[in-house]
Amino acid sequence: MPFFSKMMDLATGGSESPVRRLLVYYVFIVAITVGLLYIFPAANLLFSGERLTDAGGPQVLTDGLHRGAASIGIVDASALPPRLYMVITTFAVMLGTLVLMLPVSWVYMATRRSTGYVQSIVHTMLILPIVVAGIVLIVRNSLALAFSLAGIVAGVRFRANLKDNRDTVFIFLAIGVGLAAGVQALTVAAILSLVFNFTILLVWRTDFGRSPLDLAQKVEWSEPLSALVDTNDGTPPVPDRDLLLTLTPEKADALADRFNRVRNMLAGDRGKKTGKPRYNAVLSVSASDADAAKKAVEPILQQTTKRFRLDDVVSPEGKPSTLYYLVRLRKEPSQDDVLHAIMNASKDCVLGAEFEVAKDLEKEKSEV
Amino acid sequence: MRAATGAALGIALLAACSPSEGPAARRAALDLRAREVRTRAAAADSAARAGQRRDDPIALWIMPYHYAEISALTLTADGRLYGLGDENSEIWQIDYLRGVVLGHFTVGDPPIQADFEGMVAVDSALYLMDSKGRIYRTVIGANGATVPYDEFDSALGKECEFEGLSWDPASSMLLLGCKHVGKGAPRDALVIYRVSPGGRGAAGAPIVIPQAALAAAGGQWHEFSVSELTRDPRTGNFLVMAALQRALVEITPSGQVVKAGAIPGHHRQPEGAAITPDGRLIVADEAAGDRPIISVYPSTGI
Repeated sequence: MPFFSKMMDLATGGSESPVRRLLVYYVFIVAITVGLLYIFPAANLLFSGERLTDAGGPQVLTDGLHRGAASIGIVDASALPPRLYMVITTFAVMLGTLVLMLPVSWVYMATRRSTGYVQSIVHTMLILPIVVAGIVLIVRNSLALAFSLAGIVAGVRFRANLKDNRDTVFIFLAIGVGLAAGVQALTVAAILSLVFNFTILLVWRTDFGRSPLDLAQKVEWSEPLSALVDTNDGTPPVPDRDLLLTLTPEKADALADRFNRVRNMLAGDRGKKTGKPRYNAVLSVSASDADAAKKAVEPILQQTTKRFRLDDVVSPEGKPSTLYYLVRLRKEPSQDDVLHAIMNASKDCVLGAEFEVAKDLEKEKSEV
Repeated sequence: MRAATGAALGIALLAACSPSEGPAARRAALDLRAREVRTRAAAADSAARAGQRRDDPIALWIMPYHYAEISALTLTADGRLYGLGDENSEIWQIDYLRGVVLGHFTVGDPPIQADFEGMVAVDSALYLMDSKGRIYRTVIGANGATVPYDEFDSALGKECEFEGLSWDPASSMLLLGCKHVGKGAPRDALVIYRVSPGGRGAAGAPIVIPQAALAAAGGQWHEFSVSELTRDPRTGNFLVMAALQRALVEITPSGQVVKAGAIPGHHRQPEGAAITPDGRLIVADEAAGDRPIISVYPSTGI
């Protein structure tokens, strides 16, 4: 592989552009194939796609003498034992499948690096088409074998759900390349692989269809929000880039206001030396009925905390509500005991509860 | 992106520059094929008259994989060539001069599932035979048609595993080639049974040609496993082909060996043969892991 990387670097002039590297790879593959066909004309059989031909109606047969029998593999094939010829053909189909799926896996790794990267899909992309090609080679044109295999495969149940539609498309491509290779139409498989890769790269590079915002808003907001996504200062980036960049200005303002308010309340006024935070934690309570939960939770907070204040209630349609309490905790009881008491007192309406303790305050404590 | 655009343009140009075939151009190309085949045949005939035997085919048609199991050939009196699939009752009409499968029809609805090993055209009827000696009588159908059939059992399944079916017009009998002998059949010999159409059991004694007679005619084989049996319309003799031994034997209707030798050319698994009225030998090879082939030779080569 290092040798291969060096060759690619040499051919691309050290360029890291995926488009350029892909193009060099495909040119390299075409050159190898042309050379192979020149030295072993019988390899043309792998590109004929003959098993796609329809058996109905007039059908022109290949003229073995006009094209030269050796050039179409017939005489060469007869010179080889049939089983050996079958082994060579099968091996070549499998190898061709792998060679065509490698760049697809690279494109997947490049375009899905930041979000939703799943290593098992990369493995699947390389292995699945080989298996599919093998099955097609076995089935050939036999309806009986096809039904038998369908029966066998139906016995194996797959429960793997792909989280992203784009992953599904990669899997479909793997099946497509496997099918094309299996019917010995490697040309179709190669064009499929090439067009797919460049389309994916194009869509990825231009971020096609990313944001529903109009152009003005997009330009206005993409720059400052991009800073949150692509942080270079060591802090972790916001995980969902797309979601963040689709915020409208009003929503972003509202979000910022809420962050500021909570931060000030938790951290206190740092401008004053005597400033102490009124609250040191946020309690999030997930509830099926917000009012009932409020009635159940607040008496417990009254008993177990120094002070508390309901900061916000978020009630998404069709989903549980979340109540956010700003809380000043006591040394006793512990956070776990408070949470335990809340859950016990309101089993009917509270689905879950958790504390987030202000990190700034913890730091101050540790410094003292 | 410029590189991707270049690649896309390249593919588009390649597609645009590829020759398109209209019906007229296609017909002209096929006629040219037929002319080339006739020219090669004439050249081979001239060479033969000059005492130079040629084993090269004058036509070699590579068939798609759909025809992988081609197991028998037969020519009608008016020169139409038909091929038969091994495991289903699909019959294809093949233009052996132009290299075209003109059409196909199916025997039986649902199609008969049997191990077909022989086929012969007799006037407007078509007889098929499976390896157990069961005979199916049908007619030649139009393209895409399904044709009815009736069947009878030669009751010779225990005697032989059959391959190769032909017709003897002199006796109006079907001839069944014996690939592997079973109970009651003569051993160390080439055995051919005569069966009356619609009849049960052998009609008279089988044709038995001992290995010694084959050896005397130049056939040095330990055994002879018949794979096809076809009649030469010029002489009335029969040509018996053995795929395993790559051998051909010409016999008279009474069972006298005329000539014995090797099948001309190179063949993986020759399962079908027919002789045209002008003496060209047509051989069909099953795919055997590759692709099925129809080869046309200027003569039988023996």
